[in-house]
Amino acid sequence: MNQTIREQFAMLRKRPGYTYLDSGASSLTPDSVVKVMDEYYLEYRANIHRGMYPDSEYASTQYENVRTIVANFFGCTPHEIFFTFGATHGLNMLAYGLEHIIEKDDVIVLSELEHHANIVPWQQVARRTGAILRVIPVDKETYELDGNFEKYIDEKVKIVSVAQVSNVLGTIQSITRLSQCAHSVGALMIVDASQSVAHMPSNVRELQCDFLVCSGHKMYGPTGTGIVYGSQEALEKLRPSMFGGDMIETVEFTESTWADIPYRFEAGTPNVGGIIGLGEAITYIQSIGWNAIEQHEKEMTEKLLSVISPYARIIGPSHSARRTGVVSFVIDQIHPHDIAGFLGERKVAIRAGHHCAMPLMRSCDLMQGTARATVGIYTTEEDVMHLDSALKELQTTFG
Amino acid sequence: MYTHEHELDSIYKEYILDLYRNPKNKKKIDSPTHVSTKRNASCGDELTVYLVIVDGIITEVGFDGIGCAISQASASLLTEHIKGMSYEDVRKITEEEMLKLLGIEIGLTRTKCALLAYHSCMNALNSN
Ligand SMILES: Cc1ncc(COP(=O)(O)O)c(C=O)c1O
Repeated sequence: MNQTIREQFAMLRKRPGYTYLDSGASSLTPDSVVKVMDEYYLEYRANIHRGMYPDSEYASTQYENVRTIVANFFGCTPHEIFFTFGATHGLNMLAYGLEHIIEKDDVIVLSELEHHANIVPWQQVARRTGAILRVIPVDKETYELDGNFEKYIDEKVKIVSVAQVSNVLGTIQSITRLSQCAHSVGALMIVDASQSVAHMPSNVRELQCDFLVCSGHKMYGPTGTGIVYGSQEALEKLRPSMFGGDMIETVEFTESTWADIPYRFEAGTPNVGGIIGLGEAITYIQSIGWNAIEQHEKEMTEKLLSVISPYARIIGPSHSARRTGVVSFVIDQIHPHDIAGFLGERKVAIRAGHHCAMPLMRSCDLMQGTARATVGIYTTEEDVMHLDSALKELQTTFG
Repeated sequence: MYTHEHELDSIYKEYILDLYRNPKNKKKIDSPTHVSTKRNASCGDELTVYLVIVDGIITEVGFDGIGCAISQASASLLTEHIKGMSYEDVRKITEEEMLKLLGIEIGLTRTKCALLAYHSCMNALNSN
């Protein structure tokens, strides 16, 4: 399967011997996605909405069509989807747009493994409103969240916001159970799906969440694109936080009224070319199919774990159950930056650092961060063997 | 057009690795006249530079801390370089000169590592 897939990515096709294991930070982009963006820029470049000429009409249709593709992908209706410039943008919009439901001493629940993008916006909301952040801890043996959700989610809680998959540990959180727990006290459930959308199905009805946020560039789409799902009911509660053109109905100098949901959440000219590319990226994922993706990535994750284990300590589950192909590791006496730097010189691309999860690093006593290799659909056994030989060389050189 | 030429040159030269394994002046000095610690939060690195300055001359120098090969090697190179120099001359060392002393082509992301010891040292000069 993967040799054909590698053929579909110029970055891999043109550079034999290049091993890309950093899809957790950003995935590579298949030619088909670049092609539809090229078409937009080279053949029907126009702004969307209200251009009464054919190119603008066509661009609008293509853009709106992506809303349908996304809705189908997440199992919701197109009116429950709006586009952003990335997950960080989406999470900030939720934090600003829901601030009005938070009062002093209310509680916002996060987990210990969150990315800074799902911590800092809430921390700022808490600071402005006098609310409290409460954190569900991670068990340092199993790397699972404390499953006693009821202990953290009580009547004071207004919002629960948790990552479906950890970008450090690779663990998969029990989102459906968290949603049920949040709803039992009348709180809203937000899912940061940045690390899951390209690797497992994220059906919002099954997850029972109120909002789900992700970036396009980790799902084989272009940078500068993102998606927010909000249930019809949840979007009624969300207030716009970016204002300007396209999101309004009428404007006077003293006041304005908003366009319908979801358009009121898309102020200004969106990343039209990017969103068209994102639609193609989702179509690409669907053409491969979840069965094939999950099976292949599970196999690669197992291989990755077994190749890394002899050299390093895995930070995260050392088995492939209930986890994705995000594999963090540390090696005694070798700084994660040296691991990644040395491997990079051997054409193995991995990431090193705190992965925008400083609180998790601190509580795991890993202030120098970790090295992290992540699997994508194009990862092959040769990639894993390549990593193995580079790690062996690292050990000899630094040992 | 982007080329991959820059990938040919390794920053992990033998002398860098050597200094990483056998650092120079890596010792805490008990009663320094000048001392400063700098942190690089993004890599968790921490480096302290200790100086003994007598009559305007650096008579003793040491560093300790944890860090990657690049920050450790640059600390060794800098401390070797400034030993015996005058306070005034050390103050005049620029970031560019520090990078030159390190002698490897360093990318944007590793520049912070390469300059950690330098910044600790400059801070130490102002610490008394
Ligand atoms: C779990 C998680 N949340 C949020 C983000 C932020 O995504 P972006 O930088 O694309 O806005 C990332 C990506 O680094 C992530 O891994």
